Amino acid sequence: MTDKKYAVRARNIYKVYPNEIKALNGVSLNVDYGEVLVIIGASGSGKSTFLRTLNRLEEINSGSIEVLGTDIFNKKTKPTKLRTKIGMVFQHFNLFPHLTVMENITIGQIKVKKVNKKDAVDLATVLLKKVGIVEKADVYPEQLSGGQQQRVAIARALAMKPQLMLFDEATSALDPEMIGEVLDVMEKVAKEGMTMIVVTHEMDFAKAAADRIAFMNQGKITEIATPEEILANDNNPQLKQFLNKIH
Amino acid sequence: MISKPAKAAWNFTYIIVIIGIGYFTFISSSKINYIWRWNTIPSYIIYTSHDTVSSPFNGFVEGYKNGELTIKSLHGVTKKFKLEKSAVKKGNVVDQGDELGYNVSHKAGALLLGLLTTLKISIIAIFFAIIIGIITGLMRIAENPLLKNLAITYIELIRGTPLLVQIFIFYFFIGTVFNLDRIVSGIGALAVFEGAYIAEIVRAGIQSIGKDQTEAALSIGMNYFQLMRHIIMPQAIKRTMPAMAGQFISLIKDSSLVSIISITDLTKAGREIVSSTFSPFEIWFTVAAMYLVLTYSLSSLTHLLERKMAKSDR
Repeated sequence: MTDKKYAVRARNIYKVYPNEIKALNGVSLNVDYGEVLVIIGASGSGKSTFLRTLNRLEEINSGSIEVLGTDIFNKKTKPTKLRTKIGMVFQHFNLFPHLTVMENITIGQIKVKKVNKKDAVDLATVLLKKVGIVEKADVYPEQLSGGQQQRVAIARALAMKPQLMLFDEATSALDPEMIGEVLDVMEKVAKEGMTMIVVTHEMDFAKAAADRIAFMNQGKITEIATPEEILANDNNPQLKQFLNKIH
Repeated sequence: MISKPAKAAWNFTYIIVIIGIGYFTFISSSKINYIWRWNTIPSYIIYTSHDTVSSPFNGFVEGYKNGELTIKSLHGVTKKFKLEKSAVKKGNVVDQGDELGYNVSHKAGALLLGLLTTLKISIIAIFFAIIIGIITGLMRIAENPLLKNLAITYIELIRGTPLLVQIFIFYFFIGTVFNLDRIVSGIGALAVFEGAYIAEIVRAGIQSIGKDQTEAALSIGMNYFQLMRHIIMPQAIKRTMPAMAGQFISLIKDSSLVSIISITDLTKAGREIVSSTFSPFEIWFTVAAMYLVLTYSLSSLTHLLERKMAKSDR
């Protein structure tokens, strides 16, 4: 049987921090193209660490990861090239404070992908419309609310035309009234067929948008199934405890 | 919080204190039997020179009109001169080499020339110090032990030895080995010295930018150079502006030490004038004031720049 093509194919990932804490303790996972996978788990369960290994913001101790058909820890793989195909959205937005919203979204296209400025601005305008803040193109990030900043950050990631989007607790740092607007944008992106891996605590988003949910506990994926199955799961006490806590 | 009238009272007191210090200086200087000759000072900054014009041939003066003197030679050749002041009158006979009159021009005096030299040395040294500082600052935070250790060695060596000694080494050793001009040695020593301090400022500036910025830049595919050039440096430079300005001001002041290797900067000019006029008090006060003009303009300029750049601040 020929190997099926996966967007992400992780095999036995181990990662130990210098202080001997085992962040990842044998994670294996396949993600299909076009799939939306939500990763849940208590803090410290390794879900963010795992996400960050996928675009090599974190190195691993052993195991192998293929992303978009590339063995990312192969010596010949250039992380910079790989990262242009993987969008990432951070918990604290990480916008560039010295650049306007428009410049935040175009700088990657112009400097990394060498797109000419006009095309970059055109694409950025389309994306700003998509995330609903086209009128803020010329302001600096500090003048935006958290929700607006995070939507700009999503637009910045999408501007690189990625084939995979990683969301690292994208709504955890937001005031409650702003979470909805960001989740709406994320759902919109999901509906367009983007392959997404989303670390979140928002179970409503998971139910609405996820194809599968993975539950991580102590550096391992202990359950992975459809949202209905995860919510109905009765055999995993940690999962049950976790779900009770966040509801 | 000090109330408004109290503030005014304190400001008044300040003026009284300043006047008091001035008076005290005056009294003590009059006790030491020193003759103040402030009137000679301006001529060391700008002086008017009388450029005399002499007759090129034997002849007589035809006339002086509208600042133009016409003379006619014995062979009938006429010649016109622009003169601000004529020393001859119509009908005068002039021999070749006789003074016809003079033009007045304003020329930079020794102190102003010295100031310009100081300015030139400082600007060139600042330019190279920034380059050295940025490169070493980046090396200082590099993971590669070779780069890092080289940077640390350089910074420690330079910061641990006096600038005066470094200038001597630059001039007598490096300058001799590479056959450098004294002004190149002076500028080189200053740039290398201040570069070490700027490197530390750059390092601190870069490290003050959060890791989140690096991760965001990497996540859109930037390489190390793009990350530094477009994301980290612009923010770091803005943040380190006050420290940088302080360092540039230090450099201007430190540049006075290059006078020791016979570069005629402001300080050396001052010393030369003192030795010919025996008016050390006036000269050194003037020299100090001229340095102050340079440093104060620089700090005002950076304040202006800071305020302008503040618009995109967090």
